[in-house]
Amino acid sequence: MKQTFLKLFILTLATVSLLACNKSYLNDTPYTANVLSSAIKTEGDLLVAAAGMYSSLRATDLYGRTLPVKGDLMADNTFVTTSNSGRYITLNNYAFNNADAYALGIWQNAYISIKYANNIISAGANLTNTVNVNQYLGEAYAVRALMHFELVRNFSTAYTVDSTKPGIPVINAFNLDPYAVPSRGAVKDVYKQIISDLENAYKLMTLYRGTAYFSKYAARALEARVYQNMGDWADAKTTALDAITNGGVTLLSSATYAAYWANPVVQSTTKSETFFEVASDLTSNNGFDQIGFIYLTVGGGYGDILATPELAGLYSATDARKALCAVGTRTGQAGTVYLCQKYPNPANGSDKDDTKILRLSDILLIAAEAYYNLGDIPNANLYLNKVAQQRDPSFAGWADAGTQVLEDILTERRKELAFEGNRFWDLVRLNRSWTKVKNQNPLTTVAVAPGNIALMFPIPITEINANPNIAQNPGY
Amino acid sequence: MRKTIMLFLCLSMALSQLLAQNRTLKGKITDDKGNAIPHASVLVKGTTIGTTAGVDGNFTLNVPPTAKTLVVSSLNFTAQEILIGSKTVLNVLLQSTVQSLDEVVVVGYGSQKKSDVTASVTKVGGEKVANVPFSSVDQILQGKAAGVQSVTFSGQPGANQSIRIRGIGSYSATSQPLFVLDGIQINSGDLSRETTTSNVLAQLNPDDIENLVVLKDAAATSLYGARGGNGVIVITTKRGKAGKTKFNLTTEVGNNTHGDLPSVGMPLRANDWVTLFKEGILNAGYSQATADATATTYGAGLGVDADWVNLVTRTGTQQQYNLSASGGDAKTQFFVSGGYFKQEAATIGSAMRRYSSVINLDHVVNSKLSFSLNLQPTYTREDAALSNSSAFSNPTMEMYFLRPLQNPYNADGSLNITRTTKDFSSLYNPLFIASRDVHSLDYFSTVGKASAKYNILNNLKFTSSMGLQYNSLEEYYYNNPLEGDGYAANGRGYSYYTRYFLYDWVNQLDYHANLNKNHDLTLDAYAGYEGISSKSYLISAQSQNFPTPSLITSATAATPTIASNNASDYNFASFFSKAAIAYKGKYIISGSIRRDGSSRFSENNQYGIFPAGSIAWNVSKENFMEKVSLINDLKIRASYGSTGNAEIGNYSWRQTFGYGLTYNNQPGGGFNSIGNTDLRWEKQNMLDIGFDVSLLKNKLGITFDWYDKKSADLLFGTPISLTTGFATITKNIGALENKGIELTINATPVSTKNFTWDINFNITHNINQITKLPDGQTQIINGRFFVAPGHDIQEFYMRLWAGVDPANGNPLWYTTAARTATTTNYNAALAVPTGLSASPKYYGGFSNTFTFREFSFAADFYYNYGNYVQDQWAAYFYDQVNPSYGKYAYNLQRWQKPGDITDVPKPVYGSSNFSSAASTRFLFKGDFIRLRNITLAYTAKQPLLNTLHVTLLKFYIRGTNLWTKTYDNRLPFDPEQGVTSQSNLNVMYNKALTVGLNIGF
Repeated sequence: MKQTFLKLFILTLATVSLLACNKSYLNDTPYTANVLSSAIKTEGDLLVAAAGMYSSLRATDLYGRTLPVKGDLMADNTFVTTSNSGRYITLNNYAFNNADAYALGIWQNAYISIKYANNIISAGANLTNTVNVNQYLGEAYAVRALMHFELVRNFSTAYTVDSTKPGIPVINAFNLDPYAVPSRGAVKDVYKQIISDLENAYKLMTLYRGTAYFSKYAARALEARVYQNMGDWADAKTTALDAITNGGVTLLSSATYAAYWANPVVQSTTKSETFFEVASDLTSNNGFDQIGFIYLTVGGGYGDILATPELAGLYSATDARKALCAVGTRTGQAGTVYLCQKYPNPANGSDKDDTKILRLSDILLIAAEAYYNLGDIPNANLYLNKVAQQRDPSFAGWADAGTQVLEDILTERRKELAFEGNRFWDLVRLNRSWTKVKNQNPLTTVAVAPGNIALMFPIPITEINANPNIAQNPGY
Repeated sequence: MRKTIMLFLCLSMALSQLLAQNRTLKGKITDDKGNAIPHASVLVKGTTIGTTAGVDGNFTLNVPPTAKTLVVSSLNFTAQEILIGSKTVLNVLLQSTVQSLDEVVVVGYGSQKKSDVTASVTKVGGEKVANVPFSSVDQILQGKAAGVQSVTFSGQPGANQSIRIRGIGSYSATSQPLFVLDGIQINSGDLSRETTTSNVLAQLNPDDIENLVVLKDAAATSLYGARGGNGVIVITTKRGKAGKTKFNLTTEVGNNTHGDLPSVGMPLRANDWVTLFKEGILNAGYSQATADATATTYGAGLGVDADWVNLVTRTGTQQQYNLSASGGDAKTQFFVSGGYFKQEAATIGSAMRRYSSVINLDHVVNSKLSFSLNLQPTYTREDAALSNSSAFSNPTMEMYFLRPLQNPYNADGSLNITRTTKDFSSLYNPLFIASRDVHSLDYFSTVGKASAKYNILNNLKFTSSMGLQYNSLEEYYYNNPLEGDGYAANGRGYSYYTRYFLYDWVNQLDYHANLNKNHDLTLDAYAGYEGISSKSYLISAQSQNFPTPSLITSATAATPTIASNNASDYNFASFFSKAAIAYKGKYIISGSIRRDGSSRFSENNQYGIFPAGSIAWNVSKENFMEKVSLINDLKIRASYGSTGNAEIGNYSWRQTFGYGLTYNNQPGGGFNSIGNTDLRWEKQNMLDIGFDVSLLKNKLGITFDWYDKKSADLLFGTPISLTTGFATITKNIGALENKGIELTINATPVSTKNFTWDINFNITHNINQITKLPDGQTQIINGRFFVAPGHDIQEFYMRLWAGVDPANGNPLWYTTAARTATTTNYNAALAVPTGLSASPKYYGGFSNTFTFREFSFAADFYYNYGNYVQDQWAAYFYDQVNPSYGKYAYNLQRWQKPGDITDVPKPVYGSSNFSSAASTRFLFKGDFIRLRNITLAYTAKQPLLNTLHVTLLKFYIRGTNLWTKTYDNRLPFDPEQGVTSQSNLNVMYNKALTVGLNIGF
């Protein structure tokens, strides 16, 4: 009896252990996601990861809406009308705290894009260095640089003001440790990383995949902008001229300027005006959070944000850009109403507005500013007028001397780059003071001067709570 | 054996004929404890000759020579037939049918005599499950088992039911118990994707169920390890018994009407609605002319006065027919049944039909080997009414939202779908939707099981059983192109196919041993291995732009918009063992252990071990208790052990790279889930102490339990540095506790020859509190609930309503938690944890059964005390903040002039004073007592049964949900609104009136 029992017991135990030891029985993998470690194994996988990375730039609080909106709203170009949907009030009023949703949105989404870029850089290092692989790697370096650049501008002191102040955590490796608590290095360290990434991107990329993707000269153009923000005018000049001369991008004529903004289609082979833009289309877009809806009421849009009359007054009657800051109507708003028309397609049934990140006009004006700062006034005016006279064929051209040249360049930048999120950064990097319009008719304003705590976003309280190593910005 | 009986019968017949004269039989009728059974009936079988025993159990009866068999019966005892033979003294022992301690209960992977059970379990069986007018067996549990909170949230036939055993045990995972059907750990709950609500258990005919056993404490649940943490409900279907084939036919027909609506919650009719509407416009500072003109645009003055409650409801039919046959011989037994169940809810568009069948077979090959087989194929068709506000076609929502001025019909009698302000400009005509749209679920379900048992030795057996569960759900949701959600798309059709397949394979050894010579120290042990694997497969398709409203199939539509398939799987591999040692049936000590491995657990924590120990002392079996005649049975129990909750998501622990990040029309993907390679089950540790006592000759039975269930390692999203690209990581970090007591009393206060009165009563008291949150978090606002240490997990968090200012009719809220200052500015009011919970403090049920001769009258109640119910839709139905919608009658109590004391503010048209925004104004007492069933039955007795050649004849009339008592006169709807106690415009509960017939032959 004992033996029988023993035999059977052993038999059962054997069956049990046989099944229990079969590891694959307990290894169920998901059907709509790959296990991370095996997701990027081929060049094709890398391309898919790159698309994912670009799509993250479309986040509402990145280039989807908040970044381009903030650069005008917190400067002197736009304001939120009294009858509004409640969006961007904290930015308009220069009154935000460490729980501000826009600050959190930028911080969170920029690091998500950095995570995607790092994944590509890390996984791509294990792939054979084909032209395509190098291209996608270069694009990932460029995106990583772009996101660090936006973070350091938004959450730190301007490089030109004090580059030794705390920057933002640099995430330059694909780290799987969920409990990593990085600290803030100096602003200049962040810029060092950005330049290094852009140099890598420039070297790696050889293909042109259209305006929806980074290319060699789009990375160069971004580098020029970074040097401009650093006040490194020699490098700004070199990189800007490289992009202008060798990028093959052509400047728009005044006749095609309005049509360029009205067209929601990205360029896949042509190189007209745009170096790089973040694409939206019929199936992939931010719905009611599209940037066009914050400026316009078409198709049920909010139409919350209007241009200041001061901005509108800068355009001459013959300026092609006047049509993009046009007179309109808005319920509840007294006085003349000026509407941004750079994003007219949120309700378009076939395609949606893309967000321009790098344009030739911008780079030409960076070159002009670089020449000015390097003491070459003729070339400064030459590059300045390349833009100014192209936009307004009747304009005789700028021909000032001395510091007025810089003012001319800034005015031209304000006119050319309105509603693209640029103005605020020009004012901040030059440590200027200005008057921010909160409301028009009746007019209420905020006087903004260097040192205003709102020039830097607070580090989101969510980050502070989760990361003991991170220091908060002054005033929060 | 049979031959012997026959022979014996023939002999006795011969003998009696030989004697051929009357003789006197004497005897005493007692129960198994030797106590006299008073007033038992003694009858010569097949005749009307009989008598009734006295109070002392003694009887004397003159019997004719032809008398062969005596039938002795008494209420609450199993009737017994006794061969008279040549005897003149017949002492009869009857077995009690009252829930005494000696029945057999299925606990875990074996069954035990109830007296040997060391765990806290509750069995619900027999009459309570059979032939009930409910679509699923879990609805039957309402008020029937202590510790079990079974809550209905929808009157949709086939709806899912929320069950909480000993409180809510989790924050982010489910708190639903595990269901085990004939030993198979089935996929349960709502597996549908488009249907408003559905229920796996509604695929099971309650009439085929022998009993339900609710396993509550760790001694019972820890055998289910990582899946036992929320309690386990073991369902056992009927099986055949050797003997004459028995047929059982039950039929029930009746109808359903909608549940009671409190008068304060009835939608206002035309005159009152217009009065309040115009008053609101005047209060907003406009002229009488404006008020009149605005009311006209909304349809005032046209003589329309639609009764929307009446329009969206109907008298639904309720039918069921069940026929079963069971029997067999010593080698083979069978139970075969077929059933048809149809229930039309009172709400339009809400119905269910079920065609069910069961074949359960048992076969003994020889003394060593036996087989059994179960097969339970079922088909149901559910037509689901929509719920909550996500659908403007939901009839229950429209009943309240539509104005009485909206005319459902055109002048010619056709349905009105005109799109003007006074007609159906934004909300749809629910009658038109119900007549054109389709929202259906065709559900095919099969549960099957094959098992073989081999007796290796007399005391050692091996069992292997393979259980399968197959569910296929075909859903179709069609919106017509003329009116409603399909209008803009020119008709829409959504098709979903969902398949779940599960197998559960158990291999088990059972061992019994006598450990001493006296055979009074015994060991019962088993050990086994279980593998569970579930696979799902889902296809989704959507099309729009239909060519004609006369065809609803999406193949005719022009534009396909979605076409995809998906799947999700999980596996468990487990080892379990249990051993119990009993000494003289007095002292029982038991221990169990289970080791669970699961695909849901991370690689670092793939296996969990769940031990439990328990003891029981049958005090009544001690010698010193023999003289205590008051107590018939007394058992004291204690158990402690651990279980888990494995409903943590099939893949949540994994670091994944997900897709769908499309860019520039190219497929994109990215690192989308950080996972947690330490992620594991949530953990429960429970201590339970209880006793079972049977008193006064088993006329009073009491079961009491005290429990303390500590849940730890609860899943919470814990914030991490956003620089990682993620906001939170899901960790096993929180903790909560449920403490409570359960009391069940079964009593028979009166038991005479012709009349008996039985009472069943149970009550549960549960206290829940959060004990730990993730580091750095002191509170989490979860919707309307305040989650913080020391607080109930469902404590309402909102602004405190301070009433209406009698001077001007303005709404007031408190600005402090201490209620010291008020404000008319809603945004300045303070949102606070209110101390009021959505979970009841006490709940349970009670029933009374009166039996007089052939007639019985039973009333079952269930009740709920101490919770609060929130009206989530108050903003639309109170005041004039949203003036264009229907309003509750309660609004008539509004403030009208200075000095008015009321809690309904002055109605102000389109006001932005937030008077109807969420606050304690819209929290109501959730206490109620519901008359679940009231039944008047006639059960035929002998000799009528013989005359009719039947073994059972029962006729009854039953009312379901006929009466509900509530305790808040402001409450606008039924207080039973799901576990979260928040109204969500679900299908109203139904009141049913049915008649039934039950025949056995």
